[in-house]
Amino acid sequence: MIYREYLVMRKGLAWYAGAVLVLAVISLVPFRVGGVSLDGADIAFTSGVFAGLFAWIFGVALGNGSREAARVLWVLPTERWKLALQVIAVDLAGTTVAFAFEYAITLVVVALISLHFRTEIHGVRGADIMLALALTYATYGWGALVGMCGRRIAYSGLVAAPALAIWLTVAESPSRIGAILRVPIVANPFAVFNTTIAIRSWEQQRYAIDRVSSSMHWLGTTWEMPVLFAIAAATCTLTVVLWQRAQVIS
Amino acid sequence: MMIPLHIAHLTKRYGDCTAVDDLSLEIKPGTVFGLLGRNGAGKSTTIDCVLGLISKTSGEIAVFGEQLKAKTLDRIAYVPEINCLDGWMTTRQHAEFRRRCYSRFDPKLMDELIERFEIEPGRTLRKLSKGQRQAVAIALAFAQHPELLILDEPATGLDPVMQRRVLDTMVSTAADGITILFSSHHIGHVEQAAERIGVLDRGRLVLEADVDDLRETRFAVEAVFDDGHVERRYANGDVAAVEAQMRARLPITVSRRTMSLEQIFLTTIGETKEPQ
Repeated sequence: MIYREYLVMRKGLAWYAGAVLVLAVISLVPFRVGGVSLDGADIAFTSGVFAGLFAWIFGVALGNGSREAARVLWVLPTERWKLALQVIAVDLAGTTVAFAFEYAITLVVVALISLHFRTEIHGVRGADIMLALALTYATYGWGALVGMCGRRIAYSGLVAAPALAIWLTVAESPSRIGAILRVPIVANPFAVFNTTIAIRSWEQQRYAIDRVSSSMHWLGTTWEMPVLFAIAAATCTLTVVLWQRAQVIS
Repeated sequence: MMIPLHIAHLTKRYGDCTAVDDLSLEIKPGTVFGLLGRNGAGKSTTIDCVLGLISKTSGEIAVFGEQLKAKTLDRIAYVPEINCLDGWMTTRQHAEFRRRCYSRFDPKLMDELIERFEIEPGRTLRKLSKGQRQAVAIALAFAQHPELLILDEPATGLDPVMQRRVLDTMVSTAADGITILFSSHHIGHVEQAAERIGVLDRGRLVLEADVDDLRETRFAVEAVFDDGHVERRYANGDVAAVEAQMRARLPITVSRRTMSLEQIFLTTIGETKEPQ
């Protein structure tokens, strides 16, 4: 199973690397004058967003694998839950590689810019890197779970990320539905990540905090990463349980 | 020797619809067993239940004497009715994937089968014809060196030459002692390959017998009357009694003909006159 998923991942990473390189070249073009001052967190979070897109697409793997391919995969001489864990392991490893690649390319771009202009990178923190990675894993987990729940429709896992974004947006509203949606908002990785950014901005520049971030103020700058990892673990576990109990689609 | 497949009182319901109804079946080692039935008779559902792809409503299924476990699947190869192989992978990659998963997978045999079935191993499956994709699925299953080979409509989508090759491979594989269960609604395929058949009709097993026994015991008795009218009746076992009944009506001639498997199938599922 690892071999098959490895082949998919290899193909996916090749496309991803190509897209990132094209974007990197495009990003170099506008630099004609002036210096660059970057925060380490910006690089980590930008890489997280790119790797999150990658994870979002690969989140469909288990849902799709439980469709026609199930007649090949579920008759392999391995426990089904182990097959699911193998897929998840390869996908998360690939997501980590995608993150590292984007991070490295950003540094290369900065280095190339520094050949002509003054560049500075402030405060590279390991916690920021882990936070961004946790966001990608949680995004993957939601994609996998939604894909498994809606497996009768191919690629239904792709609905997950837009749905999470809509959830966050509607939860911001002062309406009753906004208030209702804010109750379980801690399960939304975008909201958790957004809260982290909001709290940091508030601490550094005293920017106002939005409703969702305000409702999750208890996260502070301590609990956001464990919560994101917990979301990833919970969604992936539920996905494995559904995969284990699923029946082939006739 | 362990019985490869034993099914007792298997029932599978989807809501009000009973897809498989109290099916009991035993397939002995080294047998080629053909499961015959019309579309929707319950053949694929039975196979899905055997492989644990769907849950059964009730009944017992024992594969090699025990409930199906993941490790037992190493001894089973399965070719589904619809080709489910990933189209973006090449035949070589599929073979490598199987080699890593199944302990008995034989790459040399796979190469032989690729040659026999005239498959281009370096092309992705989506670039192959429907028949070639099916041939890849069949080759992968044979190369697994299974003890139990389950094929759901294996020859569907194959041209007549490929059908012949696949059926010949099945027969030669069975000669090596491998047990084969295959489903089909093509009676010709079953006739060419199966030693024993089971006929499913609306989820029920309505006939199970050796093909040779069927040919020896089932006859069509034809009587020609003086007004030119011809009457045919089917006899199951006691053909002499049927002939006597026909003679009692004073026909010009009474003749006995062996029944083809197609006639046996059609009479069994009630598409012609009921057998006597």
